[in-house]
Amino acid sequence: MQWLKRGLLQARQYATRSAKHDLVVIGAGPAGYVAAIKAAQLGYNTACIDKRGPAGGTCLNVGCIPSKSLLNNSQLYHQMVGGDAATRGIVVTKGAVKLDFGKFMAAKEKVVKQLTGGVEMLFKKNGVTYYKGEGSFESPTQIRVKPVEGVKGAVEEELLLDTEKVLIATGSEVTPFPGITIDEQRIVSSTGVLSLQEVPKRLTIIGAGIIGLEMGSVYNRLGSEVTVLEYQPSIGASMDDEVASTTQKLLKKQGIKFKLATKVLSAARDGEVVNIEVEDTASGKKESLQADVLLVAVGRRPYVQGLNAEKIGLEVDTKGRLVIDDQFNTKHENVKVVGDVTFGPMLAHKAEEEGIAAVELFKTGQGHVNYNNIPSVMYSHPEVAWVGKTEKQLKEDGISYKVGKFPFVANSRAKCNQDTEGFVKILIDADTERILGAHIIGPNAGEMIAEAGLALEYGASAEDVSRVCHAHPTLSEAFKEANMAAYSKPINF
Amino acid sequence: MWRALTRNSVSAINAGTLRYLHVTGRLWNAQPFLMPAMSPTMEKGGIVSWKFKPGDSFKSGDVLLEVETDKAQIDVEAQDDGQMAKILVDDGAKDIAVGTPIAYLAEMEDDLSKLEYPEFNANVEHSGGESSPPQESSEKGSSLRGDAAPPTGSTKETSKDDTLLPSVGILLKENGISPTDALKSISGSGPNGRILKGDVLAHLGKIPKESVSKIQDYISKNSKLDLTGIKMRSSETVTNEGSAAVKGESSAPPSKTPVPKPENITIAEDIVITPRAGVDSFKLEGVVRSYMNEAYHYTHELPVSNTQSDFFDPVFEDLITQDPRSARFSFEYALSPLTGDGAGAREDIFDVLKRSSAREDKDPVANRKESDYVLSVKIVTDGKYDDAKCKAERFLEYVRQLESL
Repeated sequence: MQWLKRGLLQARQYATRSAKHDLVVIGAGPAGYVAAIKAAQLGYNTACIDKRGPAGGTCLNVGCIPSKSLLNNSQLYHQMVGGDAATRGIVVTKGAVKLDFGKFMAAKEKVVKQLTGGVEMLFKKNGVTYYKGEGSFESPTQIRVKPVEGVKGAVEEELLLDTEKVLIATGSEVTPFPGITIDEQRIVSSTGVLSLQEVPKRLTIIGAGIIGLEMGSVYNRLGSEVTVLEYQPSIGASMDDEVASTTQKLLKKQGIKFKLATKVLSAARDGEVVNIEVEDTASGKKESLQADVLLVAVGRRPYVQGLNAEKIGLEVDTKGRLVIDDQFNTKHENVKVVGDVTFGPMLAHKAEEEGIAAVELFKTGQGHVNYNNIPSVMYSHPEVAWVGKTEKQLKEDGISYKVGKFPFVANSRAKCNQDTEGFVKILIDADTERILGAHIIGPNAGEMIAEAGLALEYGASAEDVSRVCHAHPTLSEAFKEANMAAYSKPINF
Repeated sequence: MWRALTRNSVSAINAGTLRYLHVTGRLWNAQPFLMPAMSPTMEKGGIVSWKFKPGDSFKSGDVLLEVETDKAQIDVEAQDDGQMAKILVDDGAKDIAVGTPIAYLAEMEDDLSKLEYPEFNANVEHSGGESSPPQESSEKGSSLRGDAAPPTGSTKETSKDDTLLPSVGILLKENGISPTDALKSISGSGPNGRILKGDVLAHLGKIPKESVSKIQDYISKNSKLDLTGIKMRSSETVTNEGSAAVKGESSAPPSKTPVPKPENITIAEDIVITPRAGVDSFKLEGVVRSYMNEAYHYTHELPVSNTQSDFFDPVFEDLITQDPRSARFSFEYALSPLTGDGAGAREDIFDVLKRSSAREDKDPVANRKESDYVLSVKIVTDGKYDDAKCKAERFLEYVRQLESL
């Protein structure tokens, strides 16, 4: 108990190294690093602090980027061994295609290393000072950077940064499942599942959201027996209902087992296996499952550990989000918050937009993010992507709408590719025909959704999109045809 | 078609080019040549000298004139062959705003005597003269980049710079409305006042006007981050720092967490502090304030179970702890000099202000020096939590250590 007092007295006398900046960004994830670079470009003397070490945050280190490497390479492997090659006239002798899991993972590591290194290079190029350490508030204008053990290149001793402005972009962390201890070996989070030592024979996943379904896809393709448990009666979180049920059907066809409306009661590691107790929420029937690896993917929560936000009295809501106004302001006018640690969907690209907007607000008082136009993508196969409103939302909000749909089976390029699963679905206002939402399940949906974003941003009607010449034969013709279907009739269906 | 070829002059010249494309009069119009912007930040410039006289013809790449900015003198080159029709601003003129017409250029084969010189006004939409109503064109004529910014904020005012959407252009043609009329008479509900298909449909009476405003409101509402219905985490944890620490004034707004149950325990205690010599009341207050807050957070963070135990696991502890981040207790305190009248009472700014003079004639309380202070602490635990009492007691224990400060 004495240490507490001693610490207090020491803190007052301790002479610490210090530095001065115009803007300190806490967190070097998609929100933080983008904001820091933008700020430096706008002429601020900018510093960025991150305790992970490598820049890029969750996205580059243990999120979007490594998972996309695994998804792409597992799909290639699966096409070779899954019988798909044969239908294309490519003969693969049985046993000729093998998976080198070590190299498979190394390919992912390489991408992560290149990209995170790239961010640090960009910092240098733009003159952003990067501190590897834990940033914590001393006052609204003073940030303490503390050394972090085990982080390469971390600051060696504490230093104090005096700054005019602060941008908090500390991101989010995996939400733990009450009663389940994650050891990252057998019971893993989204972080651990990216670095498994071997392909598990049985992989069980709690949570049928984007993370769960993407990782389920990876290991299903590599040969795992994948079971997805979901408390809700449907998968895919905020997807359009029709798209979600199609996704489920297609993933089921690929071999993933679903147990929906299922409550997980407990899960514990027993040697090399994990025992899971579940209960059907409707019937109350209990069941015991066993898996070699259990992935807990029930969501993410804001991360403020070590930030010392309470020291400057930052407000927090019941979900742990830092409270802001519509200009990302906290109660201190020089402290703004962006990204996962505050409101809105937890998406890297939304965080990036906010990072730029917040810095521009600091600089010019003007900055803009259109929250009606933030796309979501799931990189399963087929991909799922959407932007704007879902049918359910429109119904709830009392908007009368029309639907235009076009299946990829009627698209020539999809036919050529022998990849015809899925459809494009366009939702438009019944009277004005303005596009309100676009939902795509199908090959390359994630790239195609950008066109929908552009249309939304410009207030286009379905007719406007269909009067734009789309190259033939391309998958994007399906997008055009769906727009035609929405306000009039499609040609090729 | 004339353009000065320099890196940064494009914006000033484009407008002329654009306009020229859409003029379909019987007579060829001379093309206004605008003061070019030689850098993105350039607003004004001077003309050092023209290199061609009216009637002279020039070739693409020839230096038309020399322009002077605050930084340098720069040659402006012609992008195409042509002839100088008329010079509007002569050599040596200074401070000419970027975008101001400074000359008229013509095609090589044009007869200068028959040319029309369209009036050019940077601020008013130029219609190209009576002889050339721009009916065939769906695009608007000359308008300068950099002049009146497109209206933002009000989405009711149609942007004059609007490029019509394909659906709008076709609908207008089908109904015999010229784009000029459309831009004048139809209000745009799109981003930055853009006319959308719905606006035209409503204008034609094919759909109700309310449909347009309804969807416009819906979309603009959804384009903002939804900050409605924020439920704050129980006030104490987060607001404590700012409120409770203020000059010992009672802060503790009644905890927002509902039902202050009867089993809430109130602990009150007076602690006598003897500050070292030279520590005045302000300094003491600062120390006490930060000490109490530190202790408050520390006792909240410290798990109730024995952290030294082999069975202790912080993750598990976090999981089994009920609302681990909620406040277990709130506290108020008052620091006052140990005098008969002051003890236990809350100190406010007046006490502080009058203290220096009042101090002289104070009666010291028995056994206590007159520099002693009384710290009255009142802790109210939240009965909802089992560990609240334990944590509150620990807190008090820390606070008691102030006695030996």
